Amino acid sequence: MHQKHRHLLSISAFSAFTALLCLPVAHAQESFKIGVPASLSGRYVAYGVQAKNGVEQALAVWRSVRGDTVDGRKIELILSDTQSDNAITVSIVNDLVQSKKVNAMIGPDGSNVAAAAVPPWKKFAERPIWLMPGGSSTRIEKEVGPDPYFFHTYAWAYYYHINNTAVLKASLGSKKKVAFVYTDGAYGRAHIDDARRYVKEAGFDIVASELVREGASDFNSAIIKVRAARPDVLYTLMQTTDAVQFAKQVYTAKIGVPYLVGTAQAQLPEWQDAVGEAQNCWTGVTTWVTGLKLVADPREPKLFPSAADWETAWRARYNNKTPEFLEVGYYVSTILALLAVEQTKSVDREKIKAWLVTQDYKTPYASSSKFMPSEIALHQAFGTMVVFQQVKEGNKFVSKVVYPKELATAELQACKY
Amino acid sequence: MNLLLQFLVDSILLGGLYTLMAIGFSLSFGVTRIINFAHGEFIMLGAYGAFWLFKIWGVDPLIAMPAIIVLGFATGWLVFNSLIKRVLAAPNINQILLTFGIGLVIQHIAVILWSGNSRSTTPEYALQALTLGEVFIPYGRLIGCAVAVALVALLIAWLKITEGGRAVRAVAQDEDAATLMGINVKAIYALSFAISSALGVATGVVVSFIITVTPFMGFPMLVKAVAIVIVGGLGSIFGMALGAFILAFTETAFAYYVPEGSGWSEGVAFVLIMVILIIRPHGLRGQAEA
Repeated sequence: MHQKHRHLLSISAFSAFTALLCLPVAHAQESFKIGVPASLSGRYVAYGVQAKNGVEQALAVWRSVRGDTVDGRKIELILSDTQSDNAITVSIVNDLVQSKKVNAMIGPDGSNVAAAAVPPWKKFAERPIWLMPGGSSTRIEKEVGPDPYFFHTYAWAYYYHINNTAVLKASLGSKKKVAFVYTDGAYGRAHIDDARRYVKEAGFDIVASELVREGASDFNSAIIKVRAARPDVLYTLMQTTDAVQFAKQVYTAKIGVPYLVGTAQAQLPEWQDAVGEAQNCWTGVTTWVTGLKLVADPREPKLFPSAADWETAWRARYNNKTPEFLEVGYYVSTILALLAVEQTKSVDREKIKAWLVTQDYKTPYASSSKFMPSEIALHQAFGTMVVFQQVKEGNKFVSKVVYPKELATAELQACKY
Repeated sequence: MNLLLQFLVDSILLGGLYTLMAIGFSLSFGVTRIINFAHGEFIMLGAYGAFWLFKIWGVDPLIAMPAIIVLGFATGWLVFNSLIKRVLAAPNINQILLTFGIGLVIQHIAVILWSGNSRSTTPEYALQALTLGEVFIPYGRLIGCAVAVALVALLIAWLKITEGGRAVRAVAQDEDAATLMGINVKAIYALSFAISSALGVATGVVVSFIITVTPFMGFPMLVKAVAIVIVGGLGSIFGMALGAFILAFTETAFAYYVPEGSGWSEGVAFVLIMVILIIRPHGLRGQAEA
């Protein structure tokens, strides 16, 4: 019996010793899994490609600065194609969370698929940290609610109007007349109430509010009615496809309104290319535009360099392609996730969450990475947006920053007809 | 008064645009009786053809149009002889599924090749307008309307004057009788489908500077084309044009004169179409005539 006990004791001691020896090995083999659902095909493929580019650039920079691992862990990127389809997005999120057991999810891109990702993510008690650099719809914010593991790294829709009205008020004063044109689709309807609210709060009068059909063949009736109302500002709420045709029709009609205000579409090269001369004078809101005077973060100057240096590095990797806001957003979000693991030396979501809440870096992405509560969600960063105006210089158009004041490169100009 | 004049101008120009959208569909539907659900994708291909020629070589869409029409004709001929021909005797649902499938394949290829980005051609005239007092007439839409009138006139002339055109009308009216008269019906079907495709891509060239070009632009235009052709009357080119203008005038009237009417003008226009079909089930211009 005594001998048997001694034998058992020696086996236990050997097992414990072996386990102790293996512990660092197991830690070294444990991965940090980043799940990225992205629209790599289908209707939103342009967004999906930008998401992929941004994440890949972040990983490339991380590897060149810090090496192939984070806190000794292998970095595993799981990129899944949502095919721009809500049902497929649900399956992908289920797979990433339940089967792949990712530690952090970044994306998906675009409000529709992002909204589809909320229910499958939220139903898991052990859901991973979710950083979302795409998706501005307040529907997402309402569905996510005050969830402690959700970190929104792009502006909600109402931030567009907070920033737009701020620049209008600063440049024009109050008591000016505003006319709205908005589409009857999800985008226009999601924005119109917030837009009206902030315009009224800024002291402007709303003199027209024209609803137009999404995908309509002709917007002329709305343009004629707006022209008759003689507003100082034409404020449009429509997605890119409609905004292309609308901008061309406004230009052709020589509408005579001094200020033409758009939302997210004006920052997109596809809109600028498609409308040509008709982009002149339009303003838009964004979190990124070429030429931002943002300095490097003093603690992490290689991961978060100045906006100019970041763009130079980007252009070197992507054949001189101008970066788009989603690419910058995915870059910053991915770097934040990696820093969280490095700083906490853990992939535990509670520790990552606690670190994300307190961090504050200067980034190339319009503003600092500090998270604050938004109207509903607990963690919102990059809500301060840049307002810019398309101005012709020589033979090409440039985006002149008109807000915020510290980043402005020009003053808001009235359109000439 | 100015609003009324602008309303009339806009309605006429939109009617021209709708005529363009429906003209090719009307021909193939009137002759082969196959609802070509891929017609919108032929319009899309024409629009992309014009866009790339404009973007890469700076070719004006109107100058590019003849070459694109020839390519559209050849593509239509190929699609008919390799695919559509095989389901001519099949149940309607098979024909619908086949053409729907062709449309989806073309759309997906377009997304893969050119992405889902919004595009547009911007020749100078597309951003200019003729101003008469407070009424303005955008040149782009005016050109679209003129092209629609020209294509309708050419099509009617071809159907009335040429031997091939008369054969097409004969087949549209009575396929069996046409066969007995020695007309090669399948060849006429192929010809009609190819011309329909050519008209589709011609429409695409024009809309490339009027509306936004995307791989998904085809289906909404197809829906309008189907409604217009049914209202106008099967096989009637004149009826089709009439249907296009009724749709355009109704939509524009609601957009101008009803508060927030733009949002639901399309719905009201389709209610009007339903009413017309209840009163005249064969459409405004009855059965198969040019």
